[in-house]
Amino acid sequence: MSTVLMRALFASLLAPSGPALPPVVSRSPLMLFHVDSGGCEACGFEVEALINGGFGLAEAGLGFVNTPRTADMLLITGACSRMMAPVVRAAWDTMPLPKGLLAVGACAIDGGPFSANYSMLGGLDGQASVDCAIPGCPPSPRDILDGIVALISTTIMSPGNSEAGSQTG
Amino acid sequence: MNSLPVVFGNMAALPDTMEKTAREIIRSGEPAACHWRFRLDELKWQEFVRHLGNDPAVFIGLWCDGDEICAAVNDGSIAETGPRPLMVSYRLDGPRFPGLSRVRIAAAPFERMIRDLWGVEAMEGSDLRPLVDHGTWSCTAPLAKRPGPAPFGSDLPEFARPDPQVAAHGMIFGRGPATGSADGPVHFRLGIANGLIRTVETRAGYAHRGIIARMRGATIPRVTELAGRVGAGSAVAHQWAFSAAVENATGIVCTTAASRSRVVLTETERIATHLLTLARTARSVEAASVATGLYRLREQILCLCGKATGRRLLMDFICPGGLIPLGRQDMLSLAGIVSELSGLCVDVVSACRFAVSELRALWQVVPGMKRRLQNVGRLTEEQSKMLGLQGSAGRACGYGGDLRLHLNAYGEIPFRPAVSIGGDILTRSEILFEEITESIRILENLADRISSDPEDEAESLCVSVSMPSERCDGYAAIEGPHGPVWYFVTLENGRIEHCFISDPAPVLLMATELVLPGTSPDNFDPVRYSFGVSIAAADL
Repeated sequence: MSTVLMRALFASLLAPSGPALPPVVSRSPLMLFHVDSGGCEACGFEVEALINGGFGLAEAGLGFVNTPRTADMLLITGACSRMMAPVVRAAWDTMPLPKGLLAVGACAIDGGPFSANYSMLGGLDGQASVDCAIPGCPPSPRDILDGIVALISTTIMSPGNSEAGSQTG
Repeated sequence: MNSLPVVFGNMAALPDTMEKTAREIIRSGEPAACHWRFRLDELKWQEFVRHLGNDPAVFIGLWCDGDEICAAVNDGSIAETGPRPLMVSYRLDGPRFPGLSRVRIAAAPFERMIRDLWGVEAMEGSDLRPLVDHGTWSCTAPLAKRPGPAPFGSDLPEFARPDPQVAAHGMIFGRGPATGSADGPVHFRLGIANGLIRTVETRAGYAHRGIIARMRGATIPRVTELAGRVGAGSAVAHQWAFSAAVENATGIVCTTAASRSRVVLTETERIATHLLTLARTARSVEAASVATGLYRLREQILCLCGKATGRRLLMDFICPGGLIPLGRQDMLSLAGIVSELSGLCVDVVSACRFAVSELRALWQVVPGMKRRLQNVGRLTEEQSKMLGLQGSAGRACGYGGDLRLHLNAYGEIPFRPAVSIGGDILTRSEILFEEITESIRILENLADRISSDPEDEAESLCVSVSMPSERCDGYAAIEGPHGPVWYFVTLENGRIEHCFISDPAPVLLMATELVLPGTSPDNFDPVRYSFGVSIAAADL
């Protein structure tokens, strides 16, 4: 784990800078944009704890942004309501390439206790191609961090990898 | 026989004491199977609505079950009474009913929810906008006997016409539902002119999961799970309130050990939720050192909860009959629960005792913070009374009630609710700090009592619940982190036929909308975070 973290840190420090013209893609560190797509807020609480609870995000080569325009990955919590679906879609479309999708919690994966009904779509399973799914109701901040670090260290979403990203839109 | 009052000239010598109260009108209705529920005909319902405006009874909620409209008030001559609800129902005769929001503004979100879910409209309602259905659902009025077809039209959101001054000299500023933060999906549309917020319009419903629909006809374990997911910040309070309502309906009495354990979980949740509200408020005014300290302390407490119970947010620990849902005892051995909870009390107290007082001191000395929060987002006592605001936000406006004073589970613990009259962000924050200190005191008190429980008490933490096949009703109220959480349940054949929920979130959202006009846009985030509104709980 510590090796992975160190590698992510060095990769983020030594990564080449992004293109000078828009869309600006931050290569160092990996930036996430969080969208609560309609849940009980528990997974959102844990993401907030991950950001503010002293988990060493910067050391792991991670950061959170407040606009999808500069995000590398879309982090979804909640079971995706029909009202939030266009919002999630708009955030995804706004993100620059390459980009990835991260489902955090049982609701975001398959709806969890909130299966599809008149107002809910019931998770991203079957609706979109997810790069990383972190189960739990809710997963702890440590689970979320381990999931993201495992993803960036094993897939082409690694900040040190200058080749194409996982998703092309 | 009624006698007329003695009249001298055109003036009555004595006030007319024959004027009925809303509660008397309720009691004059047809009694239902349980002693707190009555049915009224249309004329009596209208009379009830007319009299409710001047009645001191505290409004709890308004719901629909498809055939009837049900309203609940707390039967007390003063607001600070314990839970003594009266439920009144009115059989629907068409798609409309005489609304309550013209006399009780707090009924507005309930009426809007009824319109969206059941297609039944409140006549003379104070707010006729949709609450959660904004034309994206797969059908309209999904809980009605015959749901309507999916709406055909534009997906573009509709808003009220802008304020003339905003239209002429100002700007419209939208915020949400995806801001990158974890404070719940909701859209605020602010009309800003001359550097001040003039209008606020909230568009909710993004987090509507259909909890009421999912609870209808569901089993007890399934509804317990859903109750814990109404809003994560008050998961324990919701699961306790639901469990207590089922216990009330079925006549089950929890053991003392189970009640004490529930108090431990509820007070730990209160500390964690208050710390989050304070941390978000501090972060919104750029007080990074305070915010970091509060977030770190909260994280420390959640880690302790995870270590003791396996659940950082303490979800799914309370069930009808006691603790730990039946069939999931593998989570933690019953014998070990008491010692784990006793240890949790000790650990939380030792983690918080000095840290909270230090953070409170830091809150007061951070340069500019006090000035930034004082007299901002001020809710007056009159506004608070008009909304029927309770909980910590109500206690910051002079409301003296706290349901914990009336619950048997808290009976053995000396407890003093914190009350103030400022009504601004600073006062609300002070109340939260005070309540955290009070919760620490309660946990400290309980640590010894729990560990001194005899062994057999520990073994009876969960009383087996035998569900009657006949129809029965129950209610319960628990003081959650942000205010009273009420549950009214109807059971039939061992399943939940109807479950009516009242959470403080909708009223807190109304309070946020009420205090924002006149403040600087910079104060938008501090004001709304200071109320601690759970969007998930408001949307259901």
